[in-house]
Amino acid sequence: MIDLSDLERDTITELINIGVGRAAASLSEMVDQSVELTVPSISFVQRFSDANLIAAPSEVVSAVTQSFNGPFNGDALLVFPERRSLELVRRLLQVDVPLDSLSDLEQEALMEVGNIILNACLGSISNVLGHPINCSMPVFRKCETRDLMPDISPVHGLDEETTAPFLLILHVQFMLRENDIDGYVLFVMDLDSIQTLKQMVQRYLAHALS
Amino acid sequence: MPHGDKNRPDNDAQLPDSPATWSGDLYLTLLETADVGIITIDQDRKILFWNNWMEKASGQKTASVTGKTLADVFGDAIPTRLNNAIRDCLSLGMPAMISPSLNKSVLPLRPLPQFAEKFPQMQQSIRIQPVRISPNVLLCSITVRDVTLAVQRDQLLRRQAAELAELVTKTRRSEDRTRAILQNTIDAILVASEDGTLEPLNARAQELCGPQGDPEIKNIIRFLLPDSGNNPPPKPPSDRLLTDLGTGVIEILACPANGHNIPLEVAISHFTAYGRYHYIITLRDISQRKRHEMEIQNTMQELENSNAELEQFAYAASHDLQEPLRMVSSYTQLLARRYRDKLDDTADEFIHYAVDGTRRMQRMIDDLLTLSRVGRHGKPFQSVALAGLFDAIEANLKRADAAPAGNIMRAPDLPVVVGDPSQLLQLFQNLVSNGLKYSNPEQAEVRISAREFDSFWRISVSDNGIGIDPQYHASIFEIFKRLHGYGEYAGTGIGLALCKKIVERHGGNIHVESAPDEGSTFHVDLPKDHSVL
Amino acid sequence: MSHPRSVLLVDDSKFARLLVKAFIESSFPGWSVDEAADASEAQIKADSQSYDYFIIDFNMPGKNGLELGADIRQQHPHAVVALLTANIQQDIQKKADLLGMDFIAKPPTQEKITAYFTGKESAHD
Repeated sequence: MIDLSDLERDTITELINIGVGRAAASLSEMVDQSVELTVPSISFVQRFSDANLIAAPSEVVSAVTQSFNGPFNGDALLVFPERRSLELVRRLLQVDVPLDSLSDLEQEALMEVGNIILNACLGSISNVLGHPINCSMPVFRKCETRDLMPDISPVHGLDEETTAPFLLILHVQFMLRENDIDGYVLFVMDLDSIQTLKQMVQRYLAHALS
Repeated sequence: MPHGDKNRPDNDAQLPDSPATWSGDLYLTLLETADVGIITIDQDRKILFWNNWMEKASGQKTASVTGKTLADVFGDAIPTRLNNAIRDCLSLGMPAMISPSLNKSVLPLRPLPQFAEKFPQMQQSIRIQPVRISPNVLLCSITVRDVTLAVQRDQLLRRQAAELAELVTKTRRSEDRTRAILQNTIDAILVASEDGTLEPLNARAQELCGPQGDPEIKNIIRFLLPDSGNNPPPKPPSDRLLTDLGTGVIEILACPANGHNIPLEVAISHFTAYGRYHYIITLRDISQRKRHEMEIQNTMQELENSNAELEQFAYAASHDLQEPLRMVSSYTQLLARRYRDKLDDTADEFIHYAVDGTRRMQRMIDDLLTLSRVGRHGKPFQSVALAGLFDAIEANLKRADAAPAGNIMRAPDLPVVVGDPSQLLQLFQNLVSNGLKYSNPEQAEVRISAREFDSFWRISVSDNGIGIDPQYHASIFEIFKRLHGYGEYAGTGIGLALCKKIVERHGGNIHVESAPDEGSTFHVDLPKDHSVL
Repeated sequence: MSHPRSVLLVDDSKFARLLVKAFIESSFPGWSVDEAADASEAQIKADSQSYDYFIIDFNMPGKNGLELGADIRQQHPHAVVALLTANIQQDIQKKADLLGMDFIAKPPTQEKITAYFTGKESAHD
């Protein structure tokens, strides 16, 4: 069981909040309209499918994922319902002729959007904690919501199979009202990473409040 | 390839023993020859590495860019997006990608010659990645791919998608229109495929075949279709087939569940679609037409009956009148012969009038009989050469001393027509003698000519006589119509009525062109083809 | 430095309140710093006591920071009101400006907070 004090939990939420705030500003500039954000919610689940964000597990979504490793490991995801991602690209590229599905170039554009947003999130966390975060190039995937995680969740040793790892899922929803586009940013971290993050947060708090 | 060349082995003896000794050069050579642009930037934003591809695409030699920043090399052309990405990479270790769609121009690189016309700049897909050489050294690697071809294809795809969408819209619109036309057609339209299934195509057809329609109608249509297969439907009851099937016009009677029976005309056409044969069946409501036909038929019947009665009456009257008239005539003539000059002058005059009256009466009765016989005692039609006919007429007139020689002029090429010879003789003799009668006997001239039209011959008889006021042109053909007193011109007033009746029996027309003192021309149009009669 | 000031921090993040409070107290000893976790709590505190500064987060459950800020500006025209938020979109900054609120971008740092209050105080004097 993960043992996070209210303050630690609150701190992690606030760190993500700051990151997403920066990300929203970038997105807002790109689409030239304001982006509404929800208050980030943090939850711990045993399996990804337990998270209540997959209320529609078979909904097809477009997701841009960036994995990070070190000092803590996890995945940052920018997720749009498939149809919404088309809307977003249309808005971004201002194309007259929308195609039925994302073309390669549109997919790459969406990856760049994801990259900008996720970098803003991760960069700001890294900035606050004063520690660089190693992260991967963005990957684009189109799949059902329930399949977002299994193949990108951190692999654990065989002996730990019976006690599936706890996942920390941080969920922030954002909306572009003018175009009726909504999506969400997810941070998914495993048990070990949460412990590392917790230690870093404690150190940061101790330092800041000293 | 400056880096690769200097250590390249130039003979066998100097070949390295193991990969370890030449691996450094190998990697460098691979980077140099890679088909992507590779740039490496250090913490101070200075260019460390610039491969062959970059040299070609930028036109800048490695030696001239090494140690400079991108801004030094390209000036203000570098967009903020790229600068920020490099900054975040070097300070935070963030990787980044820059897509061609969101960034119209990134590095000012030359496109390949084949794209130069449409793309002033190479379309690029860029990856920016942190490269950690040691715990303290973080470099930024920039990879540039030329995606101009992909961008061009995307534009083409989009254009084609737009064209396709437009085409689809157009087709849909035209389909909608066709469907609306079909739906709103008054006729019922059905289509039958080879296997005999009948599909109503529009609202009217649905109505006729639907639950409120006629349950038998499909069977009747199936019966009417050619090659209905091995299993032809039974012949519908005779009261449902209104016409004999051999005539080409098919009329059937629909008996809808709700309402009156409807006579329908059936038209069947066919077409082939996707290798299969289909029939289109059109059902037209002919209730109105049937009603009119019926009315016309009734009227015709009434007319025929009344005409027959009239002829019967005229014949009977004239025939039965002859007997007493003959008696009166004989005795008045007897009186005239025996008592002339034996009574006084007044008596002679009275007897003269009585004789004259009976003679006129006799002529009128004769003419009336002739007239009533035109319809009743007509002879079969045959070819009649008009030249011969007019020879006979001239002879007749000469015999009656009614025509001075040389005052009847004929066109040389009078045709052969089809008709009843004796009636035609009567017709033209009447016209010629009329022409002579209503002229100054000294200089009377009658001309006969013919003119061919598509479907009829026009035979014209012209005179130079007193002419007829146009107001009488129609009424002169009525029976007993006289324009003049008995004293001026002889005649019974039946002649032109007889002419008209004869012409009508021949399916033709007669009319007059005339004005007072300018002579008259009677035109007789005789059809060439009598098959319609 | 001038006489002690009173500050009300409104933020649903306890962490953020803790940080800002620590920064203020270390730079401006003697100032009083109160906290509220949302708009309604802030409103109750503002009704019962007067504050020189209101530092308000934007993204909060219930009334957001701009709505609360508008109310406070009306009720306490002499108080200084600042929006301290991670939501740094131009749109939000403009709205804050129109309401006569200052804008401070998160994350809060010692330097940022100290500079803000120092600037404000020197303008007062």
